[in-house]
Formats: sequence, structure tokens, C-alpha cells
Amino acid sequence: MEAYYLEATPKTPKLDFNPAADTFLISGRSIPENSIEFYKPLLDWLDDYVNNPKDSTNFEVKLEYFNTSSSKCLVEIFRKLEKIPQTGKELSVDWYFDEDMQESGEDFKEIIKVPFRMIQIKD
Amino acid sequence: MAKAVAQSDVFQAEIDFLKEVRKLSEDDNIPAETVKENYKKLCDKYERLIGEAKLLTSVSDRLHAKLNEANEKLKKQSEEINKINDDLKVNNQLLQDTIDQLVKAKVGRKASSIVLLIAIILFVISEGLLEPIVEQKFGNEQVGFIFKLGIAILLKPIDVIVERYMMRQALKGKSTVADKLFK
Repeated sequence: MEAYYLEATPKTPKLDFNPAADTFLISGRSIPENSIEFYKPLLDWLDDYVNNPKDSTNFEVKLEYFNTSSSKCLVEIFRKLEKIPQTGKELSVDWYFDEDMQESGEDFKEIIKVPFRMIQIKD
Repeated sequence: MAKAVAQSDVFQAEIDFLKEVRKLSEDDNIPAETVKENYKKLCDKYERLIGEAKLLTSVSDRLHAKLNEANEKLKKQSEEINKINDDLKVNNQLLQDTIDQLVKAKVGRKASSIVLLIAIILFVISEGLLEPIVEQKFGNEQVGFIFKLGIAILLKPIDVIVERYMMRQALKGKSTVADKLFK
């Protein structure tokens, strides 16, 4: 399966989803004009991936800032990833936070049914 | 309008599911078992949606709080900048007044020197050239005195005229401090 990679821009995050690597990554800012248009290809890619995931998948979230519609898209990403443990494979989510992102991480942790670790970014 | 459509796409999965359930609810021939199954699905989706609504509200509230904080900060900074600008204007005016006074004093000194030079030249002309001719013609020594008195009386108006002329020239040549600062 081919990797899904997008470089970060001032308004969109870096998306690095490479099945050959151990870790998937989303980092930077997520304030696109149209969030669903931005995340739709990734959601389609994840639909394929969750059908045949690796034995272990680690998803790292290192977001600095995101808008409301991006948070809905993040929920959709997590919903797709929730299917991985159902196939008997391992999944872990690492939410890296500074003072701004801590509460958001806790909100996601509350509604997502995957192992969710909160990791504080040290200065 | 286009933006509203795009934002509603974020909830496309929920909209599709709602349409599906509505369609089923209009079908009178569904077995009770299927109704129960769909009802359970609906409850699950509703529960999920509540969770997501809570999350979105929380994220949105935080964003608004941040925006408000940033606005307050901007407002405060704008007020500080306005105050600094006002102070700058006052200081600029003071500086301008001081410069004007300095220019005036400098011009005044130059004008006095020029008037003194003119007075000396007039005195020399009067003493050396005019007086002998006038005394020879009229035979009256008082005329020479009247010439000198005339020169003395003329000194002040000459001083004023020279000073005004030089001041005009000086002001023409210089730009204000404000002009220089904001160039």
C-alpha cells in the first residue's frame, strides 16, 4: 500500500501516513478553508488501510492549533482507526500537547475508544 | 452559501444515516426485529453525535476564548500605540518650537551682523563722500549730522527687513521635524 504524505503549509498540517514506517503523524496547524475537502483523501486512504492494517499502528498527533471543522475531521480519522483493534491488530494514539492542546486532547480521549496517551511537550 | 454547504459536508455521514433511517421509518412492512436493530443503531449514532457535539462545543468555546483574549490584547496594544503617538506629537511640536526659536535666534544674529556692516558702509559713504560734497554745496555742517541721524533711524527698519527676508529663506529651505521623522 502506498504512503499518504502531505507537506505542512501555514494553514494545513503535515500528514505522514506511511505503512512501511511504525508511526503515522499529523503535525502543525489545521485551519484549512474547507476541512472536509482537505481531509477527504486521507479518510479514503484510511478506509483502505484499516481493511489490512499492520500488526501495530502508532498514530502521533502533534497539532499546534486546529479549527472547529478540523476537529470534526479528526474525530472521523479516529473513528476509522477505531476499527483497527477490531481486526485484532494493535493501535495506539499519542497526543502531544502544550498548554493549549491539553484540554482538546482530553476531550478527544473522552469520546474515542482507542488507547490514547497524553504526552506533554517539553520546552 | 457555498461555505455553508461545505461545512454541512463535515456531517455528511450523519446526514446519510438520518436519510436512511427516515426511509426505513416510512416503510410499514419492516419486521419488528429489523426495527429494533435499526433503533439500536440510531441510539448508538445519537450517543456518538452527543459526544462529538460536546467536543465541538468545547473546541469552539476555547477558540472563541482565545480569539477574545487576542482581541483584548490587540485593543490594549492599540491604545498604547495611540498614547505613544499622542506623546510623540506633543514632543514633536515642542521640538519644532525649539528648532524654530533656534533658527530665529541664528537668523537674528546674522541679520544684526549684516545691518552692522550696512551701517558701517553707510557711515563711511556719508563721512567720506557725501558730507564733503553737501558741506561744500550748502556750507552747512548740520547737514552731515542729519545724514548720520537718518542712518541711525534707518538701522532698525533695515534690521527688521533683513531679518524677515532671512527668516523666509531659512523656513523655505528646511522641512519640519515631523516630515523628517515620518518620511
